[in-house]
Amino acid sequence: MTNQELLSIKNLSVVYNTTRGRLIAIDNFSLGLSEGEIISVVGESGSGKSTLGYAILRILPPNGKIVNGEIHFNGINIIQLSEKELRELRGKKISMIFQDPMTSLDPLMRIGDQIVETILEHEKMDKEEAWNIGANLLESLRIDSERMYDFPHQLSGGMRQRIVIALAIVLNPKVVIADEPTTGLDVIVQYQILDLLKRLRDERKISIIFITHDLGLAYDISDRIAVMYAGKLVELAEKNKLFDRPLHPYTQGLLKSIPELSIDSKNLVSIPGYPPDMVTPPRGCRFHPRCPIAMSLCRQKEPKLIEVEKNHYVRCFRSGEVAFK
Amino acid sequence: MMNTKIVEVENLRKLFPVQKSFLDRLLSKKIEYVHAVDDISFNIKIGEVFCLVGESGCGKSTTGYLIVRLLEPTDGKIIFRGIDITHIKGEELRKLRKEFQIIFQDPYASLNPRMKIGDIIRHPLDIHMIGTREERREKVLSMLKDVGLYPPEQFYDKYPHQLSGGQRQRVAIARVLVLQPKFLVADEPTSMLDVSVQANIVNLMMDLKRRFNLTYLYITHDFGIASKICDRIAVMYLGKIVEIGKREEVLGEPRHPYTIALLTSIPGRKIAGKKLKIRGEVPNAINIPIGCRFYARCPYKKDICQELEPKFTKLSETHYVACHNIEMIKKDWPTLF
Repeated sequence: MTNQELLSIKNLSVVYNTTRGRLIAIDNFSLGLSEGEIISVVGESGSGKSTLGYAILRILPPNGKIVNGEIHFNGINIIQLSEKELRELRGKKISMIFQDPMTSLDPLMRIGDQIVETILEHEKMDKEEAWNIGANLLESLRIDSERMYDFPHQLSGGMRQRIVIALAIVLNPKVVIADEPTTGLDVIVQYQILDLLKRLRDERKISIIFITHDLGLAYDISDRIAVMYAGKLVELAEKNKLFDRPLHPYTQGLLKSIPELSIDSKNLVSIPGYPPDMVTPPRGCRFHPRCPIAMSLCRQKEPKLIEVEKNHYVRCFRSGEVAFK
Repeated sequence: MMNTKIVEVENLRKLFPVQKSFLDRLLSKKIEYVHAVDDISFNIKIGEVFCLVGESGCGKSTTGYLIVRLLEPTDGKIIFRGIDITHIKGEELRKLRKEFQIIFQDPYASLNPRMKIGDIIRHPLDIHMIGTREERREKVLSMLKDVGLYPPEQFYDKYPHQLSGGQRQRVAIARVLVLQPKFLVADEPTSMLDVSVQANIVNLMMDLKRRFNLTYLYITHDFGIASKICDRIAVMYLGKIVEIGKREEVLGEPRHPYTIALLTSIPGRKIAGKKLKIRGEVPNAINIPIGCRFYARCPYKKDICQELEPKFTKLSETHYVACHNIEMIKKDWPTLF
């Protein structure tokens, strides 16, 4: 991977200690994000995709721990930062948009006050100045700045998520991690939010890690797509490549299971079985119990992530022979 | 004439009063209403999969609840197999309920966490006093097999928290099918599930439909799923049906701008190669505008739309659209595929 990477994750492993035992949520994960790039991290529940976001910002829950790996931002290893240094990083360099716009805003504070508070936490200026920055920011996001006086409950779901996005970028971060930011929103509003995020990239050169379970959304917003399964990165490629020629059987299954709008076909394909219990993941390749082309090797040994074609990484013993139909 | 319709809905309305503060009540301010379902009519034929599609707040779930009589309609008529069920109550309703059932959206909330899976599925049989103890158990076991939960004896004694979302939804399906209903309302049954599991549940439901001769009212916000299973589609917006037709008509040649916006906003590779962008969000259903309800967001609006609520235009024997601008839309969007 290149040197121009703004954020680079190397061999990251995260574990959770649960009452049922130790769970490896992310296992030896590597990914690099360039300036102005949008990468989607796609996976089902339990794939580790949200944990990835928490790990980058070092906001894992108390039972979660980074046990291995490095996360470099602009040459600094985030994993070695002190709590004080992390406060400087969060919001200002890297910020996060959480899944649920209903709970990520303070219901008792006006939107404007929440924005002002965020600014004053990090910058020395007076309140009025901060208020103006907030109002200008909303206008630049094509949100009426009168909204500064509203409380969250007065806003629609889509508007709330726009405010959450405004809060995430008010300190001009270089990287935004968006964790399923359109869940719970309807398709039309969802599309408006994607548009807004793409504009942030185009106009402010913000790099985005877009975490989603929806391959369709990933296709719409990103440059590259990383597919995760049971804590492992299983495929990484430019989005058109991934859609035209997915090489991992899980990616293939996921693509087929999108109920694509169609007038001719009434065929709906699914991946048999369910995602594994992460406390006791299957041996060998973690996808083998659900894999249509698993062989005995897959049950015993874990495949490595290899660059099958230029910039197309796959973790599968049979990736060379798999053709997508 | 033989009646091929299993459900007939005529001018159905449901208004929910908006909670008033004590002060407002003292000042006897006018009570406002949410027009959740506002004068809709359609029918569902025997053996059909009828999809109701729309965004949150459009009234699609309320419609489903009304039809299975979980909500009391404000106005209109619901006819089930020729019987007017709009206002039936008590024993009469209980008896008929065996024939129409509902599958809820959230399999994490719809199963009693303190009951064993077998007891959950058996419960309806107990209520309707069907069969002996032994027969009920047999029935539940065979039902578990039918919905793909093997081995059934093992699942019988499990609790909901031991199952995954997809397995829970299978239990919910088994629970309604055990009464051998003729008609099922499925209220977004896969929206809480992972994509890779979604298709399993939808395919199971379609398989069961064939085996048990069921008719579905399938409620979804996902046009992709609708396109895979439905025979006919109705698109709802703010309590109204704006377009209704056969699958090929609504998907292939949609004529309401809202339908087109929904269809072209589906994430992933685009069908028509372009997208109809619309602004804003679904407004609340309290202060309903006089003219077309979609006016504020419509890229095709003209003056008449603000003044006159569009009536249905009949485009074919089966395809109806409530819009003043069908000709213009036809020109811009001749066909989506």
